[in-house]
Amino acid sequence: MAEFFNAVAAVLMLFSLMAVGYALGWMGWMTAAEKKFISRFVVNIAVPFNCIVGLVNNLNHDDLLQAGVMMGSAMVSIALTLLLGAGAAVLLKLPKNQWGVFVSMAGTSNTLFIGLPLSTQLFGEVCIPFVMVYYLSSSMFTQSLVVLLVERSGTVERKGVGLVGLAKDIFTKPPILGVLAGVLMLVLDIQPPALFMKFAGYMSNTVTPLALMYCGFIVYEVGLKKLRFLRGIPTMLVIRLFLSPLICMGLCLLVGIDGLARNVFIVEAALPVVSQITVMAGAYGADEEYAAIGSCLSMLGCFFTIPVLMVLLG
Amino acid sequence: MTVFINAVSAVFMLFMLMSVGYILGWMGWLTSTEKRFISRFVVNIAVPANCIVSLLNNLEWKDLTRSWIPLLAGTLSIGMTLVLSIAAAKALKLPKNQWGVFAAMAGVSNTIFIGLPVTIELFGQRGVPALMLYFLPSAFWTQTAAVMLVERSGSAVPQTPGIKGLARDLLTKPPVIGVMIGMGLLVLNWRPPELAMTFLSYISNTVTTLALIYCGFVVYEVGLKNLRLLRGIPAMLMIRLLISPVLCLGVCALFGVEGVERGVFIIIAALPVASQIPVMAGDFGADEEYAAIGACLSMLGCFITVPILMLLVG
Repeated sequence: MAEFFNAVAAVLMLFSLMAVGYALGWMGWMTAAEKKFISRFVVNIAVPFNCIVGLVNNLNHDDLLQAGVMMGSAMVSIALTLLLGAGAAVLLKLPKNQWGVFVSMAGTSNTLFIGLPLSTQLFGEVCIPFVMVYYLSSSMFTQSLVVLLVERSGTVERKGVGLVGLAKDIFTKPPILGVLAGVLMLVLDIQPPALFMKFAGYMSNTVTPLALMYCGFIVYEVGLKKLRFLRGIPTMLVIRLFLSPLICMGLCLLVGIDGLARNVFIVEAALPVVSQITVMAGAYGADEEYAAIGSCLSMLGCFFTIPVLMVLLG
Repeated sequence: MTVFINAVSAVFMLFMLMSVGYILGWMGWLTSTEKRFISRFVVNIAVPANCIVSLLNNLEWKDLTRSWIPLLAGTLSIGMTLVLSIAAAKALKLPKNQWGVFAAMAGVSNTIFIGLPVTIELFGQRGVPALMLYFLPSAFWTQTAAVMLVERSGSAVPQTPGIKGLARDLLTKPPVIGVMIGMGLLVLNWRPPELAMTFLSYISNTVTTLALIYCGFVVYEVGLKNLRLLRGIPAMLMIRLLISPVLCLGVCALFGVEGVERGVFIIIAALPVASQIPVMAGDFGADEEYAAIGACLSMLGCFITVPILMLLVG
């Protein structure tokens, strides 16, 4: 029972921070310009520093080998969820401009904006390395398959980027650079100067509040009134919030990942839709509103499913 | 010597955070729109949250009963600095659109945007209650004397708000409300639930980072090339950065203010120009560029004077 209340408190906390973003939107203090600034600042500056701090403070040289195995199983579980999503999309006979969006929404979860604050609140700072491992595995897909899926649902001409372009896309993302920098420091056993760590700490302090304010603002932008269960959305929510953590749990069992790593992975697998999907849908001319509504509903939904999940895990 | 090195590294840290704001401006990610958002968010949401958290975490009811002594000392030392500044403005025979700006710049210091980060970095959270006790008289003088001085230098027709309007202006400022709520909770001896405290800490953790990014952006906006020692600026810097803390030291000795409280008071008295003054100068039609240049130079100057002062205070 203690886990349940703890999780409810964590979720409530995140909800309050999201409410700040919603209120700022409602008051007109936050508009599209500020939203863009926050997302740029969080993704490119605050999160990379957060990755470095999280890795260097919570892992050592020896833990790294194990991380490889974990990454592999996380990738398999995400791939399975994507496959399941694709199967469901075919069965539901969704229109062209929705089905790729549907599969992407069902398949990958919001590991950073929601995942990092939520896991930190649930498990404490020690969980950050596992969040990073899951994040790395998940971005392998969001940068490749998810982009292709959304593109296929869109009206914009496709341009082939090729493997090199894909690798470049993945390895120039600042959060991934942050993870790589952190890993490098661990491999070489470098402890960065205290001044740097403190600076990085100040930067990472802004991640949770700003990321969640951003999510709250998105809910405001879509509008609470517009949230309704369009065709496919209930199925998407079931896959995203229930089946995805189940698949992850099964895989962890199979590979023998347990303890904190397992719990973090399962929670990460049960998180809302990736925030980029809405942006991508807009960019490629797929059904943007469908993506926005799905993403909002999954955000609101996870506030109910996460506490239940925590009880099962505890 | 360790005190000095600590102070230098603390100041350097603040400088690094400011440079993030400068770089964001240079990259075009931060413009006047986002600047406005940051300042609104920090002043109206993050700082009040910080006031409540740090008062509740660092003070007890019995500490409040003797807080009228430091409050009085703060009021007196800022009052004296203002009188000295007005006299200096007269002696320098500054033009009409500059002299009030000069006196306001020399008289009151930046207690929030620079003061809060500096206090946290140099004294830790336990220094914050002392800062609050300085902030209250400083807000009082800024809303009264500083506003009137800048108004007199301006071309806009002065409107006298009267005592009622003045009290309303002062008591509806969110940071003042934050301090009042914090003190009210201390008097009632009631600590809000942990959930609320964690929520407030998340929000208040963004203060240092965002406030300094803001200050760095202000330097970028004015432009390093435009920074030059206009007439009166050297005298203003002298009063602001050196004479003001000496006056504060004297008043502290007179009133028997000691320890952390004295240290915080002296450092805060030595901080740069209050950030509202360039804004006010623009609003009232006084010499805005003069104010902006003075504010920037005092910001850069304090990075040199604060470590020296810490050596004397410590």
